[in-house]
Amino acid sequence: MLTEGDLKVMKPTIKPLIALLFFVVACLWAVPSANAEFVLNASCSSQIAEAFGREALEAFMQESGVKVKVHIFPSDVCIDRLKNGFSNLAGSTVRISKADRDAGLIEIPMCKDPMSIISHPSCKIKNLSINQVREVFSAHTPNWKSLGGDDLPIVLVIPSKKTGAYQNFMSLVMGPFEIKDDLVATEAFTVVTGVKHIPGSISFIANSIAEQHREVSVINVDGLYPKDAGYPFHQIFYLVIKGEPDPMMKQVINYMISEKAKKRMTARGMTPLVK
Amino acid sequence: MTLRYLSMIIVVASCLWTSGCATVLTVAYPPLEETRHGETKPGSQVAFHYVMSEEKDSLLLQKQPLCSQQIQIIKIKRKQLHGVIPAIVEVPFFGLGIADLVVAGVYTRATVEESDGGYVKGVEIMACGDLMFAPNEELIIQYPTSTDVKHMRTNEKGMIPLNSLEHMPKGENSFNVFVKEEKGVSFVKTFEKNPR
Repeated sequence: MLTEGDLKVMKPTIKPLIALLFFVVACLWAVPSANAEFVLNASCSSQIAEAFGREALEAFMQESGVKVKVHIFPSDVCIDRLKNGFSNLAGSTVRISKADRDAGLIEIPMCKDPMSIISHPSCKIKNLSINQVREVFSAHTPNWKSLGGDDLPIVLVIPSKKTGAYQNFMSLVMGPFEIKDDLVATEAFTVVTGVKHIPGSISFIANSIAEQHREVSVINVDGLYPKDAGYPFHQIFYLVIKGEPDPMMKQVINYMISEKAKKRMTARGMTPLVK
Repeated sequence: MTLRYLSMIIVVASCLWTSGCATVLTVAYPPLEETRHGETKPGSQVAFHYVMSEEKDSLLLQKQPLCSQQIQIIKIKRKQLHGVIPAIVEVPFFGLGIADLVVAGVYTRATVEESDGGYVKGVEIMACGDLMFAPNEELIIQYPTSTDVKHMRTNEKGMIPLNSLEHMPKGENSFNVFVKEEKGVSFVKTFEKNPR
């Protein structure tokens, strides 16, 4: 019969054997690693991704063979991810701060896109003045009736505060007014979906996205359609990189401002800015 | 007593049966074919890499040809390790499984055959020439705040005078430089205000 002392003596004889076994198996299974290839990790604002970014990057992947991963986040998060090395390219709808520039970030304005006011397809109002837009989005006008429409409450579908759309709408349109919300959408696609399905709803989004979803109505501002000259609200889409780009990154940048990309932008009502 | 002997016989027989199992199975299986990348060499030229640097009173533009990458494919034929689990099961009894695994492992490494599979086009690009001056190139200067652009041309030495860039639009802190080529536009560099 084994005593406790015997067991203590036996234990150490098994441990090295198991360790040796693991070592042998690990050594035998060791396979030479494959060559590391360039992978483009792009963090993209949902507006840019929906407008043309995802499509353009997929086209770049097909043409060049470079592996591309697109991650969708609000613009601020995209810039943070770039700064912290989680991605090597960011698509942002807001400008980088001075601190970001000092940290070595570089912004390249690619194109500008009008910001559209969109509403549920049943909405009879086709034009609003800038003041009316402000009053609607600050909830000072709660019903379509006071604007000449049906007796229906106005439902404000608003992109979340972190998004470039919200920040740009605030600075371009609202001035001192505060944006109120009935429903907060986290992405451009959810904004469109919300407005499409909720009667009486209204929101704002890049016109290039509104163009792709004809189910929602686009409201003129001061009699101007978003594509008209003189339309007051435009967002700028930026390509952001960290530090001086190497030849491979330059290929990516050059593709995003190439003639092919510009054609895609123009077809969606955007204006290329490198020409 | 009979049961005890019987179980011992089963255990011993199992151990003997599994001894050398990894080696036998490894030898018996057909070799596995796979490929790996070998050396890389430049292929055909695809673009230029532009470099802009500050000289005395001007900015100097230089360019370097970029070529697609040609990657050598090396075909590898080798035996794959098999029978690992029976060998591990056998270890606690005699420890012979370790020797079996080592022999099987040595065999897989000894039977590796490599052959040249030619070159294929890689996804990356690489420099394939020296840096040279870029004379008479059309430049696009873009200001990020106003998004205004202006066009300039490098002289026969690939330079543009700095004083032509000194007057920046109000509120601008930097400017982006692009080269306009036949194929499209090529990003060069971003300069902070007053590159001097």
